[in-house]
Amino acid sequence: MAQSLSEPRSLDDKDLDFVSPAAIETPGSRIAGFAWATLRYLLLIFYAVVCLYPFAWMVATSLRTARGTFKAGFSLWVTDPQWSNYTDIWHAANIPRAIVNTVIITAVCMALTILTTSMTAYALSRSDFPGRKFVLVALLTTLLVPGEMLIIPTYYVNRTFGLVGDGRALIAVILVMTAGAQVFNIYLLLGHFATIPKDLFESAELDGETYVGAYWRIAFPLIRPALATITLLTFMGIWNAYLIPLVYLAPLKDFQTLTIALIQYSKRFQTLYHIMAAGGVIAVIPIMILFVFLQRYFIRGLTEGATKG
Amino acid sequence: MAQTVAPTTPVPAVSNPVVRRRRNGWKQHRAAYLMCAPTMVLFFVFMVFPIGFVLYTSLLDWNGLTSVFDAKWVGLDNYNTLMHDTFWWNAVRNTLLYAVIKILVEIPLALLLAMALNSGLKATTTFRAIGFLPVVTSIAVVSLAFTFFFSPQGGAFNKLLLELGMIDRPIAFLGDRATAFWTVTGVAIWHDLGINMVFFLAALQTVPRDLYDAAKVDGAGAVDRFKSITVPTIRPLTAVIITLSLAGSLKVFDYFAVMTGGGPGFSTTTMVLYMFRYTSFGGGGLAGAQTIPQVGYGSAIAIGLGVIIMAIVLAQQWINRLQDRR
Repeated sequence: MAQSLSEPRSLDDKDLDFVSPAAIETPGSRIAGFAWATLRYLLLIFYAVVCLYPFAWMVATSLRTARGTFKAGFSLWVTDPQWSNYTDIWHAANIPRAIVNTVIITAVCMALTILTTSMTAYALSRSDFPGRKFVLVALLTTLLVPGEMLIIPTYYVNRTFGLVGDGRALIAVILVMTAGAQVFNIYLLLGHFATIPKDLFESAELDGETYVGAYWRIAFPLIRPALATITLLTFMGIWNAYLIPLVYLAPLKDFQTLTIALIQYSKRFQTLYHIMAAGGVIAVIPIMILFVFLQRYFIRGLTEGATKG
Repeated sequence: MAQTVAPTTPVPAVSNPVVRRRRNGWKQHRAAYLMCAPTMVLFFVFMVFPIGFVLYTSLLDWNGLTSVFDAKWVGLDNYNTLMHDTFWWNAVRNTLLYAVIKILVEIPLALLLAMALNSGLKATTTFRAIGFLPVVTSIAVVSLAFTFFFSPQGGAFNKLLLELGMIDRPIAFLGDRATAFWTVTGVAIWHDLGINMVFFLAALQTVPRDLYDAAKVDGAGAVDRFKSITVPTIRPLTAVIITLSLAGSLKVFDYFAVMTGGGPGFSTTTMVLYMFRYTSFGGGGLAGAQTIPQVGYGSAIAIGLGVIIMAIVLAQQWINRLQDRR
């Protein structure tokens, strides 16, 4: 018995049909089952509260007065919502500018990542050109190198290119973040390309399709689900990024991302928690809304990214 | 002349463009090379060259402000200093402790939650979404909110403990050597637990429900079912989770940078935070400590942390492979 249980997938469903589990349930086991279900619900509800409470508390804090925040403690109750906190942080931390910068960086990174990684994965999986092995091995070995190790040298590379110290630092952030994630993304895509039969491209080419044309009109649509995963991962990574933007954008007043603007503000006004909370809500809301609508894709994307990578 | 040379290989009857491409190499692969070019340029400029460059600067006495060509060559001096730098080893210890605690706490908790979710309850999707919500939010922003949450001046957590009578006076959770590290680690677990829960849930959902029922019919108890059905199912994934968790934890920066800045003293300084101490940029990462522009030494730290991270991740994967073979 134990033998067959240790190989779950070898069991055939049909063999199990002859006894319905319900048929052998005794009243005692039903009570135990009920107690167990209640326990599970309690555990999950407790965890849900633990997950949600800090966000609710942040929203409540963002609507209090300075004195109110220090008196409120654990309570989520807000008597007199201070919407002015939002306008305060909006101006004080230059939020509109920060939103524009964050959107620019995120959008360019996403477009660049999708285009460059899919082209490379296509060429690598389709053609056996001289040097292909070298490229694959080079990419694979650097997959292990932690990006944090390269923060110092990449900073000086960008300084040499003149991409440090003014608005051009946005370009530096885009390049560093795109380069940092591309190896992983290419490997994710190579896995998907492996499922596409090569004949598909070759017959398309016999029909007069060019090499690039086959990429654009055949490969690209076929790997769209994988590209959606990458887009979502990239969006999340860039929108929430802290380290790289900190290096390049923290000293620049007009070119900060949302996260950096908020953290820099918190360093100048260390006790204005109600204003900071308003900023925090502004920074967190877009990704939360996106998550609510694209929940399944987020979860699938991250699970897939983990098991394939 | 050309006609007298007999072809050594039979010429294909149809002039197949694919076959032609294979024979002609470099020139015929121009499109493939061009498509790889952007990636390869980024790869060489921002990965390969920097690896060489950081190795080089780790051998210099360089403040990072002047030209690198004016810097003084000091050989392995920086590494020698690093080996005897107690603050560095303290940062390594903090980072390893953080990584180990996160795995030890998150894996059982995540598995428990995933099993609770996987037992055919209603609203599974809703609970899964709520549990996953912290994962998608910005670590820096969340950390900022928790800085106030744990503050001794009006922070919610202190208020609660005071009201429950568990403490007499507020504790500076993030400002006290005894508590700062554990508080930050707790926040990190809160933020990251959901993803492991979802991983485990995905693995558990591959087991047909009938299997558990059949085991029940055969008289297998809950413990037996866990041991012989659940454990084999999740084992491969657990290895993946440990790898991912390790790789992420050893690079930890955001939580500590925002909540404690590495302090008080160096009690919450991680490897990456310690590297920032010796750069002239990103100084905002360290709240308390002064940054010292010694990029040569900072480069040696970068190499040090890179080697430690790669060694641990490789060792873990090697152990996985050994276990798989058994």
